[in-house]
Amino acid sequence: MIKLSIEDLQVKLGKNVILPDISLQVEEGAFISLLGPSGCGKSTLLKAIAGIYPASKGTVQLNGREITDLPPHKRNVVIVFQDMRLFPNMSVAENVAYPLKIRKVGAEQRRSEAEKLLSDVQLEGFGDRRIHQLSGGQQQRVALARALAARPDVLLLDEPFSALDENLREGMRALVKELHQKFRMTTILVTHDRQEAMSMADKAAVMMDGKILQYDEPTEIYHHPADEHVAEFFRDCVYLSGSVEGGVFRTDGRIELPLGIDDGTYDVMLKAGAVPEKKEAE
Amino acid sequence: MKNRRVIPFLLLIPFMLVTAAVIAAVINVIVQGLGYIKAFGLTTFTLDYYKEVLKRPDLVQSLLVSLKIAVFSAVFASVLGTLVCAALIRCRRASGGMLTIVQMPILVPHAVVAVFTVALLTQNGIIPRILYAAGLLHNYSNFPDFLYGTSYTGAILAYIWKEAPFVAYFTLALMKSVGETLGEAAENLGASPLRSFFDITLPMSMPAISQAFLIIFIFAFGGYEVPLLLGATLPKAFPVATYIEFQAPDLRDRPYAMAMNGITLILSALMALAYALLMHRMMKKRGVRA
Repeated sequence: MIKLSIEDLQVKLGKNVILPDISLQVEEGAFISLLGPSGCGKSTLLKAIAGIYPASKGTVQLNGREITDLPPHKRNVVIVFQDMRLFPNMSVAENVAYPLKIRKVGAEQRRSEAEKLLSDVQLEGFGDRRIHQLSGGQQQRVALARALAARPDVLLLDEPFSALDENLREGMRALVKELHQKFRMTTILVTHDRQEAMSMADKAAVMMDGKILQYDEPTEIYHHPADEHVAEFFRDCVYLSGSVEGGVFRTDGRIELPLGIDDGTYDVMLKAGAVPEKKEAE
Repeated sequence: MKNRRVIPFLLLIPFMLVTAAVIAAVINVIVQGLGYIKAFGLTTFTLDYYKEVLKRPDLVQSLLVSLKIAVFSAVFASVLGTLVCAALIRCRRASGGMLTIVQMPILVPHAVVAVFTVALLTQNGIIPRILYAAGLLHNYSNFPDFLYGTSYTGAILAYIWKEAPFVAYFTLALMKSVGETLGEAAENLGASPLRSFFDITLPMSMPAISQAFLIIFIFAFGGYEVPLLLGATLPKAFPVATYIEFQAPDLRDRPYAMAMNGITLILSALMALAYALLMHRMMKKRGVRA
């Protein structure tokens, strides 16, 4: 079933057309990523879906209902912002419970749900802390818990890992995937990180200059880039995720590389030439 | 290299000289208020002048009048200014022509504001005339008497007109940035724009609003020309009474005026201290340095 349907959407900021004509369909419960270089309009698209930027043309439908002209607070489409935007005038638990408070949930239930969500993001017992007492990674997890508390129809993640250290990023990615499995919430991840987009999402939309160049499963995009721009975008390197057991690296059963390194999860990076060039194939 | 270190200090000299002059004047006020003016043959330190000032019913009345003007002006100007600020941001008029119009009262001197107020609000002023012409007023004398009364309504209105835009301007940058980030996040989570404003944007803008409140309070409390031009003969506003005392023919009465100045200084300092403590507590809770 289609959860979110965007048809011929145009977004202008002032006189500048940021997104000339976007169409995108997202299945119920899917995890898709919007991938592209910075400035390609992916965050703008996210904010247009959330209603923060108005559409100048086209339609946005959620659950088959048109929401194009609905104000942000009536859409139930929640963004986890890159800069987190936690409320410093509230405790951690109050932040997480805020969407419930808006929805007039009683104090007792708010408290227990906030506790449950905090434990989902591995922050049990942090409820009474102030925001400034948390590290960047912890703040990001609170932001995630707060977004989940709103039980959004669509969860939008705006480069949520880019402010984190590399070692924290991996943990957060795993957590986001785990929560997606648990809540089955339709999720759109915005990122400029190819590895992130390809390893996490069921489908990826490659964006450039305000247009979606290809919207497909990650392996399809790897192997059959729609045009030279997409190919170009992936050309310099490709990542393969997998794990090493007994010194042998394996990725979904297809590739085996005897490497003789310590066991654990790894990403194998293949440099230029790994992506077939469609131009030549044609 | 050596010059580079010295230059900032050289540039600061004029400012430091002015500051030194102000501090010297304050010390002078305090010393003279305690009864020590060698030139007039007063050489013993005493609190008697303070005691006598606080015992005189007319001066206590003056003190209360000035406090009332300060409280009403600061409260109403802060509320109104905050609303104007929020409206400017909501209507995306946080810069440009509309802002310039809002800013105008800030540029008008207080004495001129007082004259405007007279022209507008006396019983044969512009507003009563308009109301009369519109048939909303049967008789000029039915128009409420805002000016020269003991209520000091005219003075308070003048301060509100001049200071509400100051609050708006002072708060604008902070409120705009909070609204565009945290306020936007609250709306995204399902809060209506009004709710997001009261839950998030307003509390997070309080540092600027309360700072503006303090500035207006202290300014209106020590204000001279507005209550002089728009207020009653009795009770006079405290600074007006102070100036009259200062002009007393007998120079040996000078310490009374200085004790009154001392009272203004002490009350203003107490307000500032209370504000600082309040801010410190609030900021500590939010993990921001005040």
